[in-house]
Amino acid sequence: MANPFIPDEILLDIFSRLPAKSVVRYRSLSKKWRTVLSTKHFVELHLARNPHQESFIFISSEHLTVHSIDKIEGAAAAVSRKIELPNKCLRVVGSCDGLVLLRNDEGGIFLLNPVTLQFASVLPASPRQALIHFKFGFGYDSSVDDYKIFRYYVRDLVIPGVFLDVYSVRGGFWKSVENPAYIPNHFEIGHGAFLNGAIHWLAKKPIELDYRIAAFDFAREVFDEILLPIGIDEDGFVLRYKLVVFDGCLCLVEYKMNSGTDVWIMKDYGVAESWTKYDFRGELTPLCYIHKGEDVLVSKSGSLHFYNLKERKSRGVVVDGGAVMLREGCMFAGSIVSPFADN
Amino acid sequence: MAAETGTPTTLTLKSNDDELFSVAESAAILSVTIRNMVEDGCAGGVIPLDNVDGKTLASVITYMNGISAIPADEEKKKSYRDKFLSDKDFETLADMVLAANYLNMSCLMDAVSAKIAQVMEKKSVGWVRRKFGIENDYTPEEEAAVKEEHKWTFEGVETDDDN
Repeated sequence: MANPFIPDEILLDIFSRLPAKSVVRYRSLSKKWRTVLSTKHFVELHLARNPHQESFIFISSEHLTVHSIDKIEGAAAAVSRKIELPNKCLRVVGSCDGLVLLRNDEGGIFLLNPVTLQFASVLPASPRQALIHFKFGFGYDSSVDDYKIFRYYVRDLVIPGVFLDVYSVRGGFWKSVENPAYIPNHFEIGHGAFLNGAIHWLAKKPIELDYRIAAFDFAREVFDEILLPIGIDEDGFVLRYKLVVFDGCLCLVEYKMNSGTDVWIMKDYGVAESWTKYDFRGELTPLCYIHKGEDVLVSKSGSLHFYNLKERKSRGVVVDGGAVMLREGCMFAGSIVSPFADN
Repeated sequence: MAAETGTPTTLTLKSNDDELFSVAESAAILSVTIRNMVEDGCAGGVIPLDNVDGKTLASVITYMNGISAIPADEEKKKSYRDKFLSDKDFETLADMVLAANYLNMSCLMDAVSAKIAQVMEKKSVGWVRRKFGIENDYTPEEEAAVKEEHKWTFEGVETDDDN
């Protein structure tokens, strides 16, 4: 090379553009680079440069094992990687900045970074916990630069009342939210949807019957209400609707009686007029756009499909040479964010 | 500034191996370093660029002319940059990132850095050490341990082709 080697400052910038997997590999370059590629500054720069959720983590319903597909975009035949965990995890609550919140039916809650394979036990399993939990959410609070886990629970099955706790990942402690103004729907299968600094649930006020979308804002620690689309069928609302985040937008998925699905997307956050309806054939949940927006990756009857928007048809995604049966799964961004509390 | 009079002004740039290049001022001032010299009135004669060799400077000037001919359309500019960099090998890209840094051209710097990242994405640790002059200060035992810790990230790594 005619020129001298690239200075560290430029090299660091180049490293920040690499996929998380490559960054982790290059921590073996030298002791110095292992340190540099682990600083808070670098982790944040890398995250800002690689915000896209291109990976998928799922629990196989056949073997109850955790697997990850590193890049799902365009893959005609995807290959999954089995992730060995010290604890059995049966449910995927959701992901934020590359951290995935997992739980099991014994009440244990865990955070996993599927790229660095760092695994943190947030709450140990206990039979009591298993009974009282019923709703979770996970997101990032920019006002204090911390990841937070939300759990709704009942004290026990006799004493009435629903309680809300928030866990600070960096701090490593729980804090309770007094008298939460909204109670999420027991029946809805999904978990809280994180977007714009708030966790969204299909929820109702304690004394009322009507469900709506409640958003708990992290920074202000208050609930806001998001208006539902006009013209949705409120009959049997809680049983047939699910809230997800799709393409960076809040998205209300409605399973129709005729086995179709209406996908309502709130294009401008908080603007009720911006709810836009797309109807899909089949009962499915949209995960993300792929193939430059021609297809939508969906989960349908426990497996992954590419749904073609023009033809309105879906075809199964081949994973490890066959159709994978999913118990639960979610998209995540490959990051090097640590799931551990600060020391 | 002369550009405002309507007559295109030409600048003469000199590489560190004494090659001379003529370039329209309107294209050259994509470089903040050159723009500052023009604004300070130091661009009358020949502008010496001590950190850039002739081969790299020729390439940068091709880029300056190409990108400034495209109207304000980010999509088109992006596809020009992609095409411009598509056939460049690692050594050329490394020279260009240093030149872009010295000339203070953020758009080129960004594009070349992204391209280098794309080239090195699947490379081995040894390849990166050689190309970037990184000294391995691990003992063999430490290195084996750190690799074992993140074993899966070594899957799918390309075999080195530069030996």
